Amino acid sequence: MTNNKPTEGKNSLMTHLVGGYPDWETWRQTLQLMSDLGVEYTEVQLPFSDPIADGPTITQANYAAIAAGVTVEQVFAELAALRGQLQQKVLIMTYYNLIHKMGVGEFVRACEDAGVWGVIVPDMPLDEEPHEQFWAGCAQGQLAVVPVVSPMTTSQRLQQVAAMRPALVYGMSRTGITGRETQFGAAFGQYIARVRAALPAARLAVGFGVQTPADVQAVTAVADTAVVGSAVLRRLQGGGVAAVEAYLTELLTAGKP
Amino acid sequence: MTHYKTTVLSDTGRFGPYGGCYVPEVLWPTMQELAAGFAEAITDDEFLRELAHHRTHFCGRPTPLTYCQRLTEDIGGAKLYIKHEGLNHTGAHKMNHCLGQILLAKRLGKKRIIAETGAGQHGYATATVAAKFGLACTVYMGAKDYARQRPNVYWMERLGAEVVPVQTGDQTLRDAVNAAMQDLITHPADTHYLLGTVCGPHPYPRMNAYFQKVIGEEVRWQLAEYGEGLPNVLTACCGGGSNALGVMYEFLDEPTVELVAVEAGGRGITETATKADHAARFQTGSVGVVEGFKSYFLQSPDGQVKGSHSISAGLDYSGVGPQVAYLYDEQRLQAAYATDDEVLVAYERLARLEGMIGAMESCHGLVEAVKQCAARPAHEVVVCHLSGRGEKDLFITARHFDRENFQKFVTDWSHDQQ
Repeated sequence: MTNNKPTEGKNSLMTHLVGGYPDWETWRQTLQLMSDLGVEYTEVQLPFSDPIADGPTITQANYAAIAAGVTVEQVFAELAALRGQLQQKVLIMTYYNLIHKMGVGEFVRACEDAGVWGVIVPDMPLDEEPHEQFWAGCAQGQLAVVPVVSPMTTSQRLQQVAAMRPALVYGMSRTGITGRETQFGAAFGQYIARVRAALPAARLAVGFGVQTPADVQAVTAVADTAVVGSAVLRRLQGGGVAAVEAYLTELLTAGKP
Repeated sequence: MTHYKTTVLSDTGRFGPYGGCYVPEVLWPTMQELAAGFAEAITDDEFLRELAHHRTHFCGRPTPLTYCQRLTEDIGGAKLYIKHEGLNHTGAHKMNHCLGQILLAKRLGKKRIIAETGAGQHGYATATVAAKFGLACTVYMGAKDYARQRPNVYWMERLGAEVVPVQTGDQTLRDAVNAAMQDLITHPADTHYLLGTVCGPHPYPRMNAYFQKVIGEEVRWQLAEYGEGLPNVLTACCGGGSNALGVMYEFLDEPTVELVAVEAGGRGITETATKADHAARFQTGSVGVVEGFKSYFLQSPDGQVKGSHSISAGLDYSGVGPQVAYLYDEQRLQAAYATDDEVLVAYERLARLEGMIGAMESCHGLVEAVKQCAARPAHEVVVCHLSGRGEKDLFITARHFDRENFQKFVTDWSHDQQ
C-alpha cells in the first residue's frame, strides 16, 4: 500500500478486462496501469463461449481469449501472482456455467486465493438462489456478490435485492447490451434515485454506454462509480496500453481541478 | 405412479433439477410477463379456439399417421407407422410453436418478432407466421449459415422478414441465439423473441412443449382408427427436443410405451477440446447452465460449450431441452443416436419403399425405428415421428446421391445469369 491514495481527487471508475486478452503481457500491464492511475474497481472477465449479455466488442474478446487458450485456472493463477501489487478492488465477472462447473465452493476458494474482492454474474438472478446456493457460498468466503439492476427492475424486486445486503450494486444505465451510447437524461436521474432509495447502504456503480468524460461526470454526479467497459477495450485494441492510459486519465480527471 | 405429464408442463419452469430462468436482470420482467401471459392464455377458451382454427385452416392439421406396409415387410418385424409431420405448413413441426407463440405475442401487444435460426427452417416458419399475422420480423442467422443456406434466406425475405447475418464467433446458430438475446435485451418492451425449441429460459420449454403436444394427441386417436392400441415404442429425433416431446408427451404416463429420443451421432462419438463430431449430449455431455437454462451440454471440463456436428442442421446443437434431460435422468426415455451415414441409408429406403422424402433430422428417428421393428415381433407397433419433410435438404442430399449432375446444374445456372 502506498501512502498517497491514488483515487483521491479523482472520479471513481470501474474498468473491465477480459482475462488474458489480448495476450497475458498486455493484460498484466493494463491491469497494473489501471491500479496505478487510481481506478477503484476492475472487473476481470473469465472468458466464456456464450456471453449472452455482452455486446460484439466484448464477445469477440471472449472468443479470442478462448481461442488463444486462456483457461479459468490461468486467470485465477495470474491474479494470485499479482496479489499485493494491485491497489484496486478486483472483481470476477463471468457467466454462471463456469462457476457451476467448478462448484460454488471451489470457485469461492479460487477467488480468495487470488485476492478477488467481489463477483458479477449477469445470468445468476436472485430467484435461482434456492437451487444454486451461490450467494450463500460467496458470503461464507467474504466475497461480495454485486447484483445487477436495470431500469426494468421493479421496486418490489429492488427490495429483494436490498434484502441480500450487497456492498455494491451494478446499475445498468439502460436496457440493452454493452458498448453503445446512452443518454443520461431526466428519466435516468429518476431511476437512479429509485435505486438509491431502495438500497441506501450500498455503493452504486453505473455502466452501459459510459464513454466520454461528460458521461463519467453525469454518472458520478448521482452514483458512486462510473463503469467503462467496451470503450476501454476499443482503446486497447486500437492503440494499446498507451491509448488506455490517455483515455482513463481523461475520464478520471473529468471535472476535477 | 409418477405424473410426468404434470412435471413436463410445470409452471415453475423446473423439471427435476433442470430448466430454470438464468437470465440477465433486464430480461427477468420480460420472461415473467411471457410466463404469466402464456399461463393465462391457455385457460382462455377464445385463445384455444383461435389456435385450433388456425391449426386446421392454416397449417393443415391433423397430419397423417401412415402405416408403412412395404417398409414393414422389408424389415420383417413389428409394424411401422409414421407420423408425417412434414405435411404441416412449412414442412415441419416447427410451425406448431410458431403459431402458438405468434398468437400469444399478439395477445401481449407485441409489435415485433425476432428469432434465431441455424439452417433457416425455424426462421422460415417464424417469417411465415409473422407475415400471416402482420408483425414485423427480424431473423438472426450466423453469417456462415447465411452464406451456405441461401435458399432459406430467400424464402424468409420473400415472406417479408429482415434476415441479419451475425458476424461474431463461429458465425453459426449459437451466435444467432446470442444476437437474438441481445436484441431482446435491447428492446424488451415491444419485441417477442420467438425461440424455436424446448430450450432457453422459462417459460420457453413449458410453452413450446404445450404447443407441440398436439402431435402425440393425434397419434393416439389415429392409432385407434387403425384398430391399434398403444404403441410399443415411439421414436423421434432429438435436437433441442421440441418434436420428441411433442410426440411423446401424450404417452409419458403410459408406462408400457417405450420412448426413444435419437440424437445426432454425426461422424461418430469422438471430439476434440473444442468441437464434437456429433451432437449426442447424453453420450458425452454434462450438466451446465447456458443460454438461460440448466440441462446437458457438450462442454469442456472447465465449462466452455463445444461446437457440435450433424448432417442435419436442426440437430446440430450443443444443448438439449431441460424436460428431455429430466425424462432421461428418470429413465422415462432412452437416448440413442444415429450417424450421418446411417441417416442417408434410412432416407433412401423410406423414399423408395414409402414415397416419403424425410428431413435429415427426422431420418435419425427412422434409423432407430427400423432397428426397433427388426427386434420386435410382428404384432407390436412402432411409431416413428417424421418431424419434417426433406425437400429442404436438396443441396445436402444431392451432394451424396447426385454430386456431378448437381455441380453441372449449379455451374450452368450461374453462367445463365451472365
